[in-house]
Amino acid sequence: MSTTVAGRRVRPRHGRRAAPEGSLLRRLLLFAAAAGAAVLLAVTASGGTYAFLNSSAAVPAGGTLRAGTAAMSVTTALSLPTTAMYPGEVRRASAVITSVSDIPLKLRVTGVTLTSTANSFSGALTLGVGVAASAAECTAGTTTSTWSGTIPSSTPGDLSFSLPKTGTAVICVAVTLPAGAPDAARGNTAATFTVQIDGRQV
Amino acid sequence: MTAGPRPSRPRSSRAHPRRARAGLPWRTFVAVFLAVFVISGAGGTASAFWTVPAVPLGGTANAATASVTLAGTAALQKEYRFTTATPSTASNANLVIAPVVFTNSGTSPLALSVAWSGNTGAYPALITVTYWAGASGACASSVPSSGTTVGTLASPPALPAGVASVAIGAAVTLCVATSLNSTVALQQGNTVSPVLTLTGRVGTNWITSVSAPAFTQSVFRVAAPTGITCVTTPGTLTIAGYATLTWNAVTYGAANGVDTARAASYDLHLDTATSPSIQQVTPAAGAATVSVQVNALNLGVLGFLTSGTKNVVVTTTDSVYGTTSVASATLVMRYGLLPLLSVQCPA
Repeated sequence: MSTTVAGRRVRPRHGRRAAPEGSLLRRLLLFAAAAGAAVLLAVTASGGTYAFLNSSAAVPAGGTLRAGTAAMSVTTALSLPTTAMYPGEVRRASAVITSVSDIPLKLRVTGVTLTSTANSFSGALTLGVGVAASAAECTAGTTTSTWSGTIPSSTPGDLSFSLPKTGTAVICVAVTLPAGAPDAARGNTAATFTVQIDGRQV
Repeated sequence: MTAGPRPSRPRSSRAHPRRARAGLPWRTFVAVFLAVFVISGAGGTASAFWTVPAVPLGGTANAATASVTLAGTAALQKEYRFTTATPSTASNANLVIAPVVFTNSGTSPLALSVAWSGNTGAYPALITVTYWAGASGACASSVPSSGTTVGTLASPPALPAGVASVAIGAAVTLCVATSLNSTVALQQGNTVSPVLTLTGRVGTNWITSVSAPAFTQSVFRVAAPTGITCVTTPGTLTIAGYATLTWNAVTYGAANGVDTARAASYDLHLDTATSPSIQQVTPAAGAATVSVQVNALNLGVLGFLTSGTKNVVVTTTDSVYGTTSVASATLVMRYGLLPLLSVQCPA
């Protein structure tokens, strides 16, 4: 309903006139198009190649560029005591990993594989891996295991240790047969396993 | 109708809704552009890290075994035979000491415990059991005054600390002494055949057990006569007939070398050993055989013109330990009027 004021039609003050549906749809499409164009333009602009002002000098003839190296090896193998394990017992031994790299490496357990036949004994074992200050510290049982798991295990875990470029790391492996190991585990065949340790650039 | 004052328009953008709506897509464009550009341009630094292939650390863990052996319980076989009215462990007749050896034949240290079976009843409760730790499979010849644990066969004692565990490949010796805490006369003929079971544990669930063969502990009881022979002596018109029973004198003690006494007396009973004695025989000292005549009066046959059978058994009584045997084999004695109130041997 409208009234006439000085010859002009005046809208009633209460309530707005509802926008037509076509207009609303058009506005939504407009917003979407604007947002899409902005994203496209922004991504294109940010992911591009930039050229900055720089200066350069010619390399003298005979110059060589070499790629860096990153390698490590087991220089002292893990040698666990071979005496049989009974419930509640822990066997500890260390191995030495040596780095010959141009970069420090952060050590990580990538997993443990069981290479013997699985049985109640291997299933009851738990494994702890840490970096020891020395082999003696490892066998003394004072090394903290920063990775622990079962055999086998596919769970990776950081050893919280950076191996220097040309340094060594004493890896302490502790194998535990829990006191609650099942009776079926006794007398089983041996469990042979491999702990996989890699190094990642720090 | 009179027109009123024209309402004033607000100065805000709402005053130009059409224009404001027209500018919103551009504002959106600028805002989204800036956001995406800044985020992707600032945070997406490209990088590459080297990873050294994993090196293997190989190890082997061996599983232990848990097993134990038990030996020596056969030496606990015992027949209690002593004359003292008050039991005393000072007497070998009332004491047996045997070293029982527990050997760890596995590869785990073991916590040990023992249990008895076949040991219930009043008699086992009267057998005192004493444990102490021996050494190298040997025990003292008498019960030590300290370091022992004491119970009964029915309620055995705990293992002494020295034999509560056994190391890998080692052996421990449990000395076991038993004695009867009663008299032979009161417990005569009782017997028990207990079984000792040894259990070794390591951890919560590794348990190994072994049981020794049963051994017997009994209380002496004199044996009943065996091999009784019978000879009939026919009667006449004036002499009643009778039967003569003969058997070898029962001896005892030869089995364990303590003594070789002969039984003091013998009794004849009708039907069972618990019925009253119808005739008692006290043989001469050292006599190798015993004979007794049985007539109608002995059998309680008093009526005339009757005939039939009477079951007769013989028991032995020893005067050393005060025991009485069970009944001998039954003799079916016959009786009849003629010859005069005669008793005849079994048919």
